Amino acid sequence: MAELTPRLSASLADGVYGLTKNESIEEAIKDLNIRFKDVAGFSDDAMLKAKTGGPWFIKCRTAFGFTLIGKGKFAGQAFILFRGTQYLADWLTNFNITVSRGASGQPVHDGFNLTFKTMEPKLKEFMGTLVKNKITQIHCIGHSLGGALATICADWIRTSYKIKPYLYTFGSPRVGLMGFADCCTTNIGAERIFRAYHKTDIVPCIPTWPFIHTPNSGTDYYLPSPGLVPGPTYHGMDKYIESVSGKNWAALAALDIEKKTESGIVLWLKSSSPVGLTITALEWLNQALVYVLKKCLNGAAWVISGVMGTSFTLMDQLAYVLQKGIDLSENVSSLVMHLIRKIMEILGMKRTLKAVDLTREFIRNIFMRLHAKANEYAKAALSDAMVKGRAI
Amino acid sequence: MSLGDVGKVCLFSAMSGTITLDGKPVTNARLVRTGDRDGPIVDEAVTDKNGYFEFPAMYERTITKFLPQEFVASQKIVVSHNNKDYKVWTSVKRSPEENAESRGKPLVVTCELNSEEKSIVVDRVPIHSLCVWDVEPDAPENWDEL
Repeated sequence: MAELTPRLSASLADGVYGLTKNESIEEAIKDLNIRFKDVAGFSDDAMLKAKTGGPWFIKCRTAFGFTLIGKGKFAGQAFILFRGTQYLADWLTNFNITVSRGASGQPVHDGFNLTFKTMEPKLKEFMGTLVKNKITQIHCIGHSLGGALATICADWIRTSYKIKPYLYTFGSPRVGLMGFADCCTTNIGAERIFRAYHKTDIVPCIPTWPFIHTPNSGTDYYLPSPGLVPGPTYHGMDKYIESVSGKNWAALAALDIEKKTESGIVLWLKSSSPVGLTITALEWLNQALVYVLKKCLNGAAWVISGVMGTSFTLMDQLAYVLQKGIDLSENVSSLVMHLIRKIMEILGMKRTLKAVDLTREFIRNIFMRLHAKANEYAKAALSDAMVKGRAI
Repeated sequence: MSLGDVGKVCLFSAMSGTITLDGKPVTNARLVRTGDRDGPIVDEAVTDKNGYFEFPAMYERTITKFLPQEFVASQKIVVSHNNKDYKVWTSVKRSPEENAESRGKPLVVTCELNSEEKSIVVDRVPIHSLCVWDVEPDAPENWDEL
């Protein structure tokens, strides 16, 4: 494996904030030389095109990106770094589901996707220089919104160039729906995806379900952080650097003592101990939903039909998949029953439920209520910050 | 912290010091300071007969202090003397606290216009400057280490 260490990838995700705020490429080079001298620099093309704007610096209204070429022991490697801007806050408080198709045809958050699309021409230009620069490996890195863009970029590189990039994200929001997470994880390979997030970082909690994280299986890097309610403090890149320094990826993976295995998910679904609306319960439910949906699909790919304009059509399609699962086998049918019961319990509804009740309309209604409840929960966690902010 | 400090972030810490040219204090040199987080804020100072100048802390109010968002503000000071401009300070501040540039101590500098620009890193932030001040820079990074 040739992946970057946690500290180096986190430092690059942090460094891109300063690099993009420099006045000129000369200033950025000075910063790179003092902090990442033996790691990366600009390609010669970048230097030539500095005056006219080459592919080294990608800028749009809502985000920035940087492309670098590896040096020394990182020769033959390219780095694509992303950072977000204040517009993330707008998206975080917009709880409508609008998705569009990413490079692999799978549904991703429309706001993230549009931002990536405006950067795509510059990235194409950069990808065109790979052969000349003898690049064989690409690292996509980002924090926060930058993490979401790095994820879409990695999917794009895999789909358009048949190269498997490495992907490192810190405190990334959820990028796409199950189809995207699935497809992206399979195509890139879970072993090349390093998603680190603090337990009490608010950003990875949003957009709420049915958006889910990439990778959807394998390993993510869940970092303990103090507190019970997610907030903005542990979203800071300084906190991420602090948490990952001195450890390799395996040591970071071992920090997660609540790892959700398939058998663990089934046990959680079948257990009768009470659950409420907590960050832990929502996390379990997320995993359980994905697990049960997969069982219902029985190996088939989930293809979204029609235009995904509204939450209603999405929930309806999810309900359709689950409802089909009920007829599939006794085993799957019982999983669906348990799942719906759990959701009803989290929603504070009565749990008496018979198989005949599970019509498509009923399941869709439950999903709509869950979606609303998850939004409410995220809003409450954000509201403290927002109220303080608006008071100024 | 008083109520008036709500949402205040420091783009540039208070700075005082002396400007010299070949070791001699420069009188009447004009310093133009720019801090830029979300659009530039500019102020100026002039050295007295001892080459001494003072800048107050540059603050800005923003709701983003309470949002999950990184603080990023570029810094620049240009000194004009005898029709020549000297870039004496460039950096990108990454913490909203005052005196981050000097690890919490008051920022008192001595800037020799005829010196070579030096780059140091303080708490992961590169600073390129003709000035010297009381601060222990970060040790050089070894990326082979975890």
